[in-house]
Amino acid sequence: MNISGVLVYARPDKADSVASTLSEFDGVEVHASDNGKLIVTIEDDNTGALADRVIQFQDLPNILSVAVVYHHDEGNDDELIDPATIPDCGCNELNPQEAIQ
Amino acid sequence: MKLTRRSFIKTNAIAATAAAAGITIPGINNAIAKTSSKQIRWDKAPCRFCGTGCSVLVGTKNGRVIATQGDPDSPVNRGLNCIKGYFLSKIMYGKDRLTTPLLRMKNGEYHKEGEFTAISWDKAFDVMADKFKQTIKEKGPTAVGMFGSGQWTVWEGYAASKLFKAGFRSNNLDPNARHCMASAVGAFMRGFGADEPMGCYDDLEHADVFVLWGANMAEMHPILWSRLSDTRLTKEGCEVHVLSTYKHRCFDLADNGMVFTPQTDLAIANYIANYIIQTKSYNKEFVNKHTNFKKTPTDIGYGLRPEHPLEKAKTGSGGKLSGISFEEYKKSIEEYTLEHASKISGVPEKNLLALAKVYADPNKKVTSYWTMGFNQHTRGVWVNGLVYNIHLLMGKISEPGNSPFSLTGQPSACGTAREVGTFSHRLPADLVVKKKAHRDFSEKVWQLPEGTIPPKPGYHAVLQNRMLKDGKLNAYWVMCNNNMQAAANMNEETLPGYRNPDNFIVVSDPYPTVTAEAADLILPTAMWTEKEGAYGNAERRTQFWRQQVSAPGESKSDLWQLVEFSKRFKLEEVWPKELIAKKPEYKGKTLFDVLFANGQVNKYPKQKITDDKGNVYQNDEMEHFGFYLQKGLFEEYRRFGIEGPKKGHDLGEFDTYHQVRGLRWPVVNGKETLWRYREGFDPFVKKGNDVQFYGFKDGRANIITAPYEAAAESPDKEYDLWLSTGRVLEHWHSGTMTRRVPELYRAFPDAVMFIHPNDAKKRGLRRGMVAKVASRRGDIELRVETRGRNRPPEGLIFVPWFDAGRLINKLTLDATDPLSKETDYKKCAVKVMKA
Repeated sequence: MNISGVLVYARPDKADSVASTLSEFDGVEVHASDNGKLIVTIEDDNTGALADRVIQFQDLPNILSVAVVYHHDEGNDDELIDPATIPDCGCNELNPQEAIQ
Repeated sequence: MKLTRRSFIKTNAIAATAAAAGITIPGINNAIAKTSSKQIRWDKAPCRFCGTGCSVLVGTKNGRVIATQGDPDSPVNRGLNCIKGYFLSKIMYGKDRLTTPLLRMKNGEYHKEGEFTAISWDKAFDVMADKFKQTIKEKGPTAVGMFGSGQWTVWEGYAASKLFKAGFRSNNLDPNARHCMASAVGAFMRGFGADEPMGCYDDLEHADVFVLWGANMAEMHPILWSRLSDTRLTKEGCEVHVLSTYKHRCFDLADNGMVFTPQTDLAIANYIANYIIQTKSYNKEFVNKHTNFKKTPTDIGYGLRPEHPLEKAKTGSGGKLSGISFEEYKKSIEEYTLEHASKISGVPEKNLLALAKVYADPNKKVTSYWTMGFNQHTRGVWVNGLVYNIHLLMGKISEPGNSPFSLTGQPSACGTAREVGTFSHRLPADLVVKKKAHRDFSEKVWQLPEGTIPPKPGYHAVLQNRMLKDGKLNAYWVMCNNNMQAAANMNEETLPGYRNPDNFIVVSDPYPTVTAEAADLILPTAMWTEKEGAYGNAERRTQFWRQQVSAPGESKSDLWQLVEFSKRFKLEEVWPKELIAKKPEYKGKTLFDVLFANGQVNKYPKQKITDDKGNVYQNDEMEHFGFYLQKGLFEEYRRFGIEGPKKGHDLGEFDTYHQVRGLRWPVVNGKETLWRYREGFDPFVKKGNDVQFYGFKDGRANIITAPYEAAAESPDKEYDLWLSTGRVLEHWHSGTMTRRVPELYRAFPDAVMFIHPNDAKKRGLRRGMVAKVASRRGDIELRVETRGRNRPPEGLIFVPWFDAGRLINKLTLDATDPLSKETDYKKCAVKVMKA
């Protein structure tokens, strides 16, 4: 169980449509909206979801800013970033020497 | 049961977020239960990335940092965290951390063309010390140098400064902050006689109007942008004006978004000053009492190599100011009318007028922000100054909400590079090597004979690469930066310099960066919370952290490396006899004895380090050297601010900073200073003076006139587009850390070329296709992006520089501001074609 609290700033005149867009994401709920400030939670069993959602949110129209406030990772603190669980992103295979030439 | 637990945690998440947002939600109790802490030790540390200086809580368990979260007690970020800050815990655990020194070797010996081979620290320092000694012996101290960092901790920068400027007697020490903040420093020194902003982040809530000049805060300073957004959304009448050479995310919030032709910010700023004078809106009393008018030499070239045609053609040089009258100032900017400014910049008249009006309105508090758009500019010192001119004419300065504010890109560009003075011309606390009184004072604090510190400024960043290529700088240490990727004109200057057979290049880094791969010796380095540290952010806030975990393998902190290396040098090997004769008691001693075991730096014995909860922390340097090295260095350094010739740089006591969420200097009697130069806020302003710019003897700031002058390289028939480079939200600088966080890597894996759809179409390109982009200096291939967060106008492309696989600095030009020596990364000419 992985629950996060995220503060989203939206254009006040578009806050309602932003809120409904956000709510369409799996595990995302908008709990309050005040003058463009949206109180959002993200729930998932997969630890990577928070990051993916936050990064997706930043690219949505009429969203001004996204900040992570709260994160709870139930029962698997170690797994949160145990290196064995980090998928190979391919970035370690970059060959800088090749890039230079 | 599980559902209850889930809803309980969710309630906490909502309450914490609502509290951070300042919103009350009925039925949600704001008293939040603490996150479950199953043997997790939480301690504060400033973030490792940008210059905002957010505080994060670092969660450590079984010797590993396992989580980070925004620090609710931090006055900077108030519990908020950006996406990079959220992933801080992962930056230290990339699979390819370097764990042992690596030397290029052939047949068991060092060889410039050899293969990287694992060796011991002892062997690494043997080879390295030999190269430094041999170089000093044969060519003197100007042939050794170091390229340091605005990511160094305060004491690392201080130790490096002592080792090079006093130990090796070489001023060839410059930080990568030269690439980001040198123009800001130049303008502060010329305008106010003292570096760093007068205001602070509290202006984010006090201002009525925000103006962004060349800063994409939404991506580069996301937490400050959240605070600014909050003010814009909640304060009646609040306005945001955004100026940039292309549309970016900040335009989403802008009430007045303006895209201008590169370099014409000079004309726009002069137009606003002209408007203020023509409409007689300026604050006469403030101008009369607190300012002087000056002019600066013009047509001063572009900091290129002397044989470049642009340098041969220039008619002026330098930045020596001369006094002028108000009338002369007025006349000097008369040509910058609304029509002229609009025509040259491409910004519609009504937008420019709206901007001028908010600055000229005495009842509106205006805060101006800028970052690399101003600093990375061949007239960077000028253009920083032109915005100070506007604020000074209106008296909108040094008070809540009225604030010209230079934002910072690195976590300790201010705290280390600028305040410690690790630039090739500087010493701590705004002192400079050129002034004898400043050298004398430094030598007194450092207990060194008169004449130890050389008076001539050393090679600055760009000059270091040129001197490496020309074979004049031969033993070179690069620490805590990735300059092969970061420096402009890599093909013609940086790479030939590093691979010059006459040179021995050492690179200290936690990861095998492009720079490390181009080195001869790589030293594995401890990072962030693997050591005790201190950073200083953009609002003069000094923040400390304790060591949380051990570094992997044989990695050692930059501080350990600098201080341990000093043991390898006998004074007789680096100083002339005559100098040693002035302090005969130093005969036969090592640089370590003289610089670090001097009775001051080694004054504080080993001690147990604990927090207020009784948790115990390690300090690997204290363990190794046998004394509290960080404390000794900081307390010695602090003397520069308290006793030095430039007032107003006072820092608090070492132990205090471990307890508080940072303090903004000057710190006097334990109290921080929010707004400098204003009575009632700044203890250094004399009673009854109201405002006193005490960086200068007469207490006045300089309004310095400077005209529009063209960029070093503009588009022409063949190279028909402007190239602007910069960052993206997900990555920080060269991506050494953020590209090793899988989530951030996935979010923005490769650099792309942001281009206007019409420009793409004209070249037969579509979104997603690979295109070639070329300048006179090199070419690379990039995917075309015609949508998304950055929308350039026709005639300009934007390419981020984080990608080691797509090195945009092969294309950029190493033109600099001749005053600040900072490179203009925002303007050169390129062409784009099908790959």
